[in-house]
This record gives sequence, C-alpha cells and structure tokens, in this order.
Amino acid sequence: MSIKEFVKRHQGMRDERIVAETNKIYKKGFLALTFGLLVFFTYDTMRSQVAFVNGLSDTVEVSLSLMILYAWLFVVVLACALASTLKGFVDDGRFAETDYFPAGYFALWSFCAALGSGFAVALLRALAEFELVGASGIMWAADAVLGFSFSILIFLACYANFYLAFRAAKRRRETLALRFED
Amino acid sequence: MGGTKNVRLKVARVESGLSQADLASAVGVTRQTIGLIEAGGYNPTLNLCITICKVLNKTLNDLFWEERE
Repeated sequence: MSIKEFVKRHQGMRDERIVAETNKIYKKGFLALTFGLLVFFTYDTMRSQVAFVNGLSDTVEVSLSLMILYAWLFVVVLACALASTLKGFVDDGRFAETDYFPAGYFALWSFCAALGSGFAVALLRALAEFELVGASGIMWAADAVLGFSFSILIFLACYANFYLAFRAAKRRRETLALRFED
Repeated sequence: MGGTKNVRLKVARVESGLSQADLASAVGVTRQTIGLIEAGGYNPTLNLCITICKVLNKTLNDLFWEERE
C-alpha cells in the first residue's frame, strides 16, 4: 500500500461540499497572499532604488533569502498558469473555451492589471521616498512617469501572455478532444 | 442560499425512516451537507445525487428533476 493510499484510507470519505468550500477559501487566500507578496516585493525594490538614488546606500542589494522568495512566487504562479493551460483554459469566464481569441475581453483585463499596477508602483515609490527622505523628497512627476511606463509594460506583457496562453490552451483542448473522441 | 428547497428529498428521507445524520453517514458526507441540500443551499454533484438516490431507493427524476412551470 502506498503512502497516498494509506493516508486516504485513514482520512475516510471526504465530503464534496467541504472540499469545494475549502478550495474556495484557499483560492481567496492564495490570491491575497500573492497580492501581498507582490506589493512587498515592489515596495522593497522601490525602497532600495530610492536609497541608492539619494545616496543612502552604495548598491541596490537584494538578499539571497528574498531572491529565493521571488523565485518561489514566480515558480508557483507559473505552475498555476501552466496547469490551467494544460487543462485547456486560461480563464473561468464565458470566454474560457471559445474558438476565437476574445481580444476585447483580454484587453480589458490587461488594462485593469496595467492601471492597478501602474498606480501601485507610483504610490509605493512615493511611499518609499516619504519613508527615506521625507515629504519634500517625493518626486511626484517622476513617480507618475514611472507608474505610467510600468503600466504600458504590464499591459503589453499581460496581453501577449493572454494571447499565447489562449493559443496553447486551444491546442491542448483539441488534443484532449481527440483523446476522448469515440 | 439561492437554491430551491428540495422537499422531495426530505420527504423521501423521512419515509425511509432516516435522519439527516443517518443519510449523511450512508452517503459519506456530513449532516450539514444533507441539511443544505434539502434547504437549497448546496448544489450536489451528480455522483452524490446518484448515491443519495440509491440509498433512498429513488430515481434522479424522483428527487432532483424539476418540472418547468
């Protein structure tokens, strides 16, 4: 008997409702945790850069433990994206399994992501400046330009990612359909 | 709880002389899940519907099919 079977046998039957509810709870937790880590990483990066620009630090340093955390977050998010693509979808809305690429829908999502991240970057940069050099040291215009540039980058990255993932998922759906055909 | 109450399930269970806990135990879920299905608060999977039907000796139509009004 494998360890998996042993654990399963001792767990007994699992209530499907509890499993479903637990999954929903953990989904929200995963999203909140990912969001929090992204905010933390962004703020940490901004803080290091502001310290360097203002001569408070000689280098823009990132500790090994933080780099491991960065890498771990990247791997986990990538694994989730790959897992859903392998199942044949990139979204759980009404365009989840359409034959054509829903350009407007994904443009809207990319725009929302770009807007949110652009604002977040500008605000976190301003916050880092406030923390390190005070209110007079906040460069609002520069922060806004940085946020705007970042949002354009995020928009393009998100849209390209959605397009490539959609194509990969569609190919995967076709493979799965062939497998389950009579 | 946005679903419709499943009175037929409740009636069938009572007719079989089972409590919610008995039925829950027989189909491998918790008593709360049976309570929620009867109250319309949980939409069970087809597998669970079939298991419930087998335990209560009913068909899916008897317990879960809703006629159009």
